[in-house]
Amino acid sequence: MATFDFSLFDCGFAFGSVTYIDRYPGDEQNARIVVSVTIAGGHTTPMIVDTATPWCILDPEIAEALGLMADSYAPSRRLTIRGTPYQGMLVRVPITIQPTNGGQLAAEATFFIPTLEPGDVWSHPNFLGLDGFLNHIRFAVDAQENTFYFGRP
Amino acid sequence: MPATRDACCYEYSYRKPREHYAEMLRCRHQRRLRNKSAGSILGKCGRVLHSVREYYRKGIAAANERIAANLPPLEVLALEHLADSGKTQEFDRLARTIDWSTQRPAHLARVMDLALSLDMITLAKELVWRGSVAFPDNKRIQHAVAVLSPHVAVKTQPAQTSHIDVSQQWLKEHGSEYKGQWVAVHNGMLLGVAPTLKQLHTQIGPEGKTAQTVIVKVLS
Repeated sequence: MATFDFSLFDCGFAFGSVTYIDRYPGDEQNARIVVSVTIAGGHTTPMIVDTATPWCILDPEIAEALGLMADSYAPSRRLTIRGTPYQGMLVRVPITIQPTNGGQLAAEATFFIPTLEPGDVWSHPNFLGLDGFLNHIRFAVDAQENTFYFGRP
Repeated sequence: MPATRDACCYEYSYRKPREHYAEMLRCRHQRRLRNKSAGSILGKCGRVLHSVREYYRKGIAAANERIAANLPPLEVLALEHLADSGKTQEFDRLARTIDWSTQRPAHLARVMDLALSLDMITLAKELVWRGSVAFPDNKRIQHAVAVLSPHVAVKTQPAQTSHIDVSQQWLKEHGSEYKGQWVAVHNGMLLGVAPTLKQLHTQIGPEGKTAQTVIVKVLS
């Protein structure tokens, strides 16, 4: 149980909290807030909480395996993802965050799925972005206890 | 058989006058026939050329009309220019002043995409909202509405027993041993490692493909 679970749950700010890891697998150099998120009910994967990224970003291999591309919007221009322009699709995907304490969060988020050229490899982490998801919930981070709190707006 | 008048005349000295006269008449007749058919071909060519020229002229006029009809209005062209030169403030101001209900949906979609490419998400969402009101039957705009619409349903559900924390911890401690590989971890234990997600799925089978299994491609 995290220190502020009771107070944040009681005041209605949050209804759940999850312990995060502070490194993305394979990237030991940079401190991150990494939460495991279940995508479309079938695939749980670590994602970096990043308020500097507008969209949530998902590895195209996962998107393909889950068949997420069917109902997507393909902008005619490239979108800039972490400084690099990528062609891709925007798609709305149901996600859930399994809590360490409290209730589970189920929401819909807008993901950017890059379209890769043949032979290209996607080498970026998965992200939970601001406009695609974080703006639509309440959240707080306790960096002392590696706890991510989430609630309804 | 001589084909030209000169050739006929050349042969004259070797033939009798009567034969030569007959020959000359035959040559003249053939020449007339040739001239007549050449003239007829030229006439036909002229007519065909005229028709081609006419079709071409009409085609160009029709194409010009089509181009003029589809050409974006000046405001949209100006927005394209502002986007290309990275003038986001001017882009934002101009895009908000245009009455989009009087424009074509394709032009609105184009400007929406320009806003998205400039990371101007708030503006893109506003344009999507305006488009949804002005063009309720346009497929592309409605697609964009479905994806970018700010309304997101957030539901609370009772927590289920989860072992995700221990799997995350395992990834933090051991992930770097599998750089560039796809790994599956369940309940803090490694289930499988593979170079592609497809191969990993084959390896872990349907019983491993649950929401309780954490799957990730370790960065290299």
